[in-house]
Amino acid sequence: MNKPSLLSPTLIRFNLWEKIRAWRVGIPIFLFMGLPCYMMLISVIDSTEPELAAKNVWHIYDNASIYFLLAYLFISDGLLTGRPTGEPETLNLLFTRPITRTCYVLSKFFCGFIGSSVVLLISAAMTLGIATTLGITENPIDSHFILSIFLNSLIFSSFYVCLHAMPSMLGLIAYLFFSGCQTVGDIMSIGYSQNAPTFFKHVKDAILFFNYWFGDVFPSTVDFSLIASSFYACTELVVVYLSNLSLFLFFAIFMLSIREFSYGAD
Amino acid sequence: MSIITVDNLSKHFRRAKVKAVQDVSFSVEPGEIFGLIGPNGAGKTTIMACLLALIKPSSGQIKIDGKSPYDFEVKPLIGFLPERPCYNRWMTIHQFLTYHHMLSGRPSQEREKDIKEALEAVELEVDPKKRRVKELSRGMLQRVGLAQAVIGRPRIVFLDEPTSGMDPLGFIMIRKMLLRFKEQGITAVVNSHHLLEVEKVCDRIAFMRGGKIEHLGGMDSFAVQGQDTTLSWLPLADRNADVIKESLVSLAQKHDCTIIDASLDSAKVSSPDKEHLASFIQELVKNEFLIYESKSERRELVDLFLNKSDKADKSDKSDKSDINE
Repeated sequence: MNKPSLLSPTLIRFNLWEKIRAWRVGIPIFLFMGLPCYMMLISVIDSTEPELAAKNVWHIYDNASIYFLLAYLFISDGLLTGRPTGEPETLNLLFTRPITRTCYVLSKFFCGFIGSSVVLLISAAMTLGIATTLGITENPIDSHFILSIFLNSLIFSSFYVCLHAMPSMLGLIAYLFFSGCQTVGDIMSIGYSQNAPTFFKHVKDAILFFNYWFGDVFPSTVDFSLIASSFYACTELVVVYLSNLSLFLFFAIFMLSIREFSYGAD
Repeated sequence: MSIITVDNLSKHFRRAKVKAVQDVSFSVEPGEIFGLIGPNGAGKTTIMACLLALIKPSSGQIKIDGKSPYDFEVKPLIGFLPERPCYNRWMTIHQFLTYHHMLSGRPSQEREKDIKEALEAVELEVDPKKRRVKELSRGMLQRVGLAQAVIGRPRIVFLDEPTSGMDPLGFIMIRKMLLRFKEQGITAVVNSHHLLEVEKVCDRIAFMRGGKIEHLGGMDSFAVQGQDTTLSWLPLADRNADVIKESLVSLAQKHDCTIIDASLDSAKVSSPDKEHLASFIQELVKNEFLIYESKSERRELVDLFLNKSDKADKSDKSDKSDINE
């Protein structure tokens, strides 16, 4: 007899292995892996200060968008179906099978975490190979770097799975809001100027207000070496990280549990 | 013991302010083919969604095999064909069936055999490893959906509009499949607009309108709602058409029957039940009508559907807010 489990091997197999076999996901993942290598190659060869150029390339592994996009690739079916929201209507059929909604959320989260981590670790290993070949001796790959990749994959997978569990429109709005927050810097800088139009000043104030109260809810990348160097100094960072991780997962499970899957209900 | 029991089920969609299902009760016996019919917006799909634990009832109780539909042990017992074929379009047919076979918890060593049998049952003649779900026509999608519904070898199958998008061969295939369910003791709940298909295979039918069950019973119970019969007799040399029609009408009235159409040697009669028809025929024989043929038209379900739907149309404006699916 089947018993409820926390992770579904079927969902994990289809979201990791079967998905990568499809070219629509396989090619972007391959590009994600190869991009830092290419950047390393070009920037080091082209630069007068190769060590500095190489150092800049390694910053790609701190980029929030990279983690977010990788979580999207492994959690959503968007790229496979050509629809940004994927296929939320397949949940209707899925939940008639012996699978709990908690298991669905945790399996998707697990896929996002494992998928993103493995892709970035392979990518980092390849980039390290290129850098070493080019004679760069100072490379940041150590246990802290690897742990940072794991921590960032965890938080961004939980964030994306939370968006994924919402009804399509709500998820899309939250996604646009997140994207907006990532690109809001330019508008902010206009607002700070003394000669800026009043509108931009109000926008700046609104963003600052939002950032003060809710800014911590949106994930940003963490650097494990910071935490390791002074754990007590980074207590706030650790608390925010852990509370966000649990909040995203809890919210995803809660949203999916209260959702009704019928034509008149979503 | 009933395998499905529904007691006073109601479902109100608060945001849309509609009462989709109101105080519905019925039960389904093991191995029974149970039909849910009714016009659009009658609440059939909502009932099915409640049975599958996809939506929460506002009130009432549902038991499947003695357990709540939310019980994890109920899930392996059921198979479901949704009305809208919203499947994982990027998968091949084989991947899609493998996916649902794994989800249903069937042993992996039986996977290929189960997939082969399911595809044979739905008579799908394409290469399942090459064709993707998104490349299939509506009828083929329906067949894949049916294969998916039976892949986990369920004891209860819920079919929402199984003939939707199907060609005549597909109709026959579904009928064969339902008959096979009967042989194997599998319970099926069929929600359909195709009345002939329902009439031929269902053991019992619930007719729904406005979120309520208006009639529930076996096909015989629908027959008592009235039937049309065409009677033929040898030509009566001594009477003309007008005289024949007059005597037919007066005799029919005596037995609560109605003459729909009449000619020199035949008439179409509508009777409230079999007894009234029999007494009317007896009366005709007494009046020297040499009847040699009687053809009953089993259109009771269609008539019921049309009559009720007409009523629904008329009352639609007044209680439109109560009807939703």
